[in-house]
Amino acid sequence: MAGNQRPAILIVTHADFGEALLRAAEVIIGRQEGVATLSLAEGESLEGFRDKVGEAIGALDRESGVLVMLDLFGGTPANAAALNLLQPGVECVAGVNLPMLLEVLMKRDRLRVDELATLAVEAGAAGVADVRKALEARTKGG
Amino acid sequence: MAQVVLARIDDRFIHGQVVTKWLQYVGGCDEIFISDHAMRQDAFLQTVMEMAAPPGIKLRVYSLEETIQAFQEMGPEDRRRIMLLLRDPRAALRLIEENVPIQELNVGGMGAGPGRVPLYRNISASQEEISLLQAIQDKGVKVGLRVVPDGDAGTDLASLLKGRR
Repeated sequence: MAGNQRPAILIVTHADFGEALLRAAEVIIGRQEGVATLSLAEGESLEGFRDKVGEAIGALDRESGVLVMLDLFGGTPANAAALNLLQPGVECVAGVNLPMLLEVLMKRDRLRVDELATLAVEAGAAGVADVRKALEARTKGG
Repeated sequence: MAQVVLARIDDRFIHGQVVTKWLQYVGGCDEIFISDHAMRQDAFLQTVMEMAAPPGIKLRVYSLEETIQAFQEMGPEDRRRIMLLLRDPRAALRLIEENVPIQELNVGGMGAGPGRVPLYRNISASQEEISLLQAIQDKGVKVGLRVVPDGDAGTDLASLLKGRR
């Protein structure tokens, strides 16, 4: 297997969230290759958007699979992406946030797409914190 | 008798606006009926919609005929609160003609495309669909166009079409 093989990433969200999220990630870890974003416009149907997600997946380098990252479980971007899960090498995770995206981008050279999906869910949850409580725990523990 | 708490035309069916806003606005429901022939034929699409439905709410995907039959078979002791999601005005008119108890029709999602004219916000319709919506209104069903229940004043078909003349 070629050393530079890594899963491609597609971020599918309501409005321009995915684009902004990717920009934020790039501020922190630098410019990324093999990452695409797709926005759900108002007025798009479920089946119409399913096909657009399919086209966006097809436009990526699919050699090592595609991880599709969605903003809201149960929303149309996630529903439309789920309808593409019958394609081989496609995995979907919902609830994308910056901790999740950063972890995925930093580890994707080393992991298969299904492993990356598992990692994404863990990192997304682990990155959520009440800052005051985190601070207080540190003060008490110190 | 079971109650239709919301009858909505929305070609995204179950999604964020419906689950987060409309469900709360109508005060919850027991079941969601998707009444759509194409979805009835597509088991995978049904599974994805089931996944998107809020926990505790039963989803039933019916053809139009099955929907009509389901309502005909409901007894007076049936107290279910039902949200009815439809793809287009043709489906709505058919159900209304067959006495499915729809007092008011919410038009929330019909996409743009060739031969379709924008009606309100991102809701578009063909000339045929506009005629069908008028036919629904002529049957005494209020037709409102509204994407989400708050932050969107909405409009009704009657004033919309009056404004166009």
